[in-house]
Amino acid sequence: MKLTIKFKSIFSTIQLNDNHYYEGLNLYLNELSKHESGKIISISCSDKLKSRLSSFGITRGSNIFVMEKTLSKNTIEIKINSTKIALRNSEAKFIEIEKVTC
Amino acid sequence: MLTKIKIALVGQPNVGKSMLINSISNSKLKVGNFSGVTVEKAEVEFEYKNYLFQITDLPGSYALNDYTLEEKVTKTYLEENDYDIILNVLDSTNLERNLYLTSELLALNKKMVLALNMSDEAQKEKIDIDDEQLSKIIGKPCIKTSAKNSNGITELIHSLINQFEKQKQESKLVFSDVIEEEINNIVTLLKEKNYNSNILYKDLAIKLLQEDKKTYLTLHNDPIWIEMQTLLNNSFEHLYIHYNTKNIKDIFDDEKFSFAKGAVKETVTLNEKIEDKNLSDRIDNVLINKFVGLPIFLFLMWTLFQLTFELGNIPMDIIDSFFATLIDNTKNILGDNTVSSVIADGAIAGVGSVILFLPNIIILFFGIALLETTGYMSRVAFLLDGFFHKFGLHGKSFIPLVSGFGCSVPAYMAARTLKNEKDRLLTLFIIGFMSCGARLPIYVLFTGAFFSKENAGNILFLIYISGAILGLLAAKVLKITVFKNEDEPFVMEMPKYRLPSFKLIWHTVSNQALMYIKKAGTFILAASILIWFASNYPKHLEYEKIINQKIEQADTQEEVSTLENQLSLYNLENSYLGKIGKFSQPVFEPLGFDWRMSVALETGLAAKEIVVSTLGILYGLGENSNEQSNSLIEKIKNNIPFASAVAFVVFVMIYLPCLAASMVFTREAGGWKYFVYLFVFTTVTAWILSFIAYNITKIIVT
Repeated sequence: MKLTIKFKSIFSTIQLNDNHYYEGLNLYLNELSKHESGKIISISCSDKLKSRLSSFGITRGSNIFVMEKTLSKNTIEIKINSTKIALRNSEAKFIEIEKVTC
Repeated sequence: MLTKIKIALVGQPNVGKSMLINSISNSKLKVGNFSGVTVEKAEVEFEYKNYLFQITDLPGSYALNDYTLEEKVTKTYLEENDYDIILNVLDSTNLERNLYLTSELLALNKKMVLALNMSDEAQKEKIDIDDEQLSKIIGKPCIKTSAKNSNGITELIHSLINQFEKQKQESKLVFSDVIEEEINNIVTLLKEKNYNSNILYKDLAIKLLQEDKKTYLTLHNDPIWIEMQTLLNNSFEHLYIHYNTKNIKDIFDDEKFSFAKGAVKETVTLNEKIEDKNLSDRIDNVLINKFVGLPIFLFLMWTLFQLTFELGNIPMDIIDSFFATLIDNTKNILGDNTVSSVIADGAIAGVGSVILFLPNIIILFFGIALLETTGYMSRVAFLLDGFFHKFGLHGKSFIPLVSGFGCSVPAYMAARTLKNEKDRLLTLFIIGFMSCGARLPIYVLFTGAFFSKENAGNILFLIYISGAILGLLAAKVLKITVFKNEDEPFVMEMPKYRLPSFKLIWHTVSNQALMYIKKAGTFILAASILIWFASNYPKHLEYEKIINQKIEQADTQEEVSTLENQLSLYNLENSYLGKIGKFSQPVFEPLGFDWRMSVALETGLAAKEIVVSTLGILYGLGENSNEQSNSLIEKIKNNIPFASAVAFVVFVMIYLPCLAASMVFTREAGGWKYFVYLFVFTTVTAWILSFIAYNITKIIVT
């Protein structure tokens, strides 16, 4: 019993590190700070949320500008084309971007 | 003979659809529901030349998805109902995103006219749209309109007639070359095989590429399938390579966007580089600023409640005295008998106490309508989402919750914006904690009776705020215990700030006020008479005889009035109402309520407005016309101990909403079992908190 638990925990740390490594390479919308811009590379979430996002203009290739973050940093306001959209960090983390300086 | 033209009005939210419908015709709006669901359906009919226009205003949708109930309703209506023309309203200042919906509408292959609305704003922002070129690209007439200035309305109507009379044209939704090529390949094969299809080959080809299951099922059983399969495999292979993804939905979404982008590129010229920060952005810099945004919001809410109380008092005094004279006059004319009592003390008094609070309600509704039309409401949702999320609610829950301050009925309906079932249910359960406009009379009565005029506004604010806080705590408790689930995604547009249209605000406010009066006129009137009856019957003739004999024998005036008091008190205590109150009194005893308060609370289950009129009738009849305590406020002050009053207010804050709201809740939540949950949940919470409030106040006061 004990052995398997140990084994599992080792395994999970490896995975965690792996994830971390992965995140280091890729930038997600929730990691942008206020007044930074980015270009959307990919959106990976459920189809339903994806079509919701795309109906607001949040699609591959669009430019995003972070307008404001709330005090708790849980909600962000972005501008895409001329539309302003509010979304939560939990949704923003599906949106992979590359930083654009402007 | 008039020719009927049925029009489906479609557009994204905040494009000025209702404004446009207002300026097209001044005819009456028929408001109802879409069949099966409770989404509001507005229909307008008007005549022009030899035509009868019938416009159905479909709920605002960003896309034809099933994401929200509104979008579902719009989609089903467009796909299944019978109509002649789609009138697509677009926001000229945000054409690209609006054209996304247009591209989906084009796929429906119907007659269509585009109204490029808000052209005045576009002009101001120096956005120049070539409407003729856009018409050519889309293949449907595009008319520049401005609902605000009623510009382009006649052209729009003419264009609708034109489209109606013309033969239907093929939709011109052009895909990029890559997809067009694949479509052509499929169409060629279908032609060669002379495939028997009741839809166009091109549409069939598009459906195949979009992986439409139904189309595959029918085609699968046909010999053509053998060749089609290889062709499709090749097509998909090409598309995958070209678009660098294997998700067909992504590919077609991309197409819609490049269509919108392309159309905008060819028709829109920005004459001046838009200033880096437009007015909306500058306002946002302050209003949703992480430090001052919330205080500003709280200040605005506080102002709204102060206005409701202070400003509303002026017409209240006038209405109060008007009904007082009306009751006196009625009694004078009809004399002292049963009929005059039922009319004056039952009906007029009951309705009077309802109308008395109309000014308060109008001001509150006005404020809420103002928040909504200016676009501030969604900023508030943004500001509060982090906070609400902590309690297991959604930033969007704020909108139904704040509407709950006006009236629970529209609030329950507003909860539909929440897509996730459990989030919506949770919000529905909490709405009752936001004291509705109908509870306001009760609070006004009690704060007026126990606090000075200067303090009453603050106390009222405190009542509302603590109700809201209690609601949030209850939400957290429910979230932990009952509604454990994944959160609904939070993606919401922040519309541009707009100056409020007073026409629209007037429309909402007058609608709400009318609804309130209608309730007062029918439901509450009936309830008032019922209460009057229940408090006057059964008659106790024998006891009356004895007392009357005593009165005749009495020497002093004082003795007479004491005896008369004794009689009316006896009558009331032994009336049906008194019996009900007495029967349930043990339940309310620990809260310090007398039987009158218990009865008032029970009648409040029908409608909260009735609580005040019941108290009025009960105390009004209970005390034999004492000139000095004519106003109800005085009576409340003299009859109810402070601690009981506090407990009463707490109970009113929490317990079950009115009959109408409860019915709406049951419908929205989706079953009677939810009503039972709500009843148990609110009653138990109300009783416990009321008990605590009563005892704490008693300790503090004594």
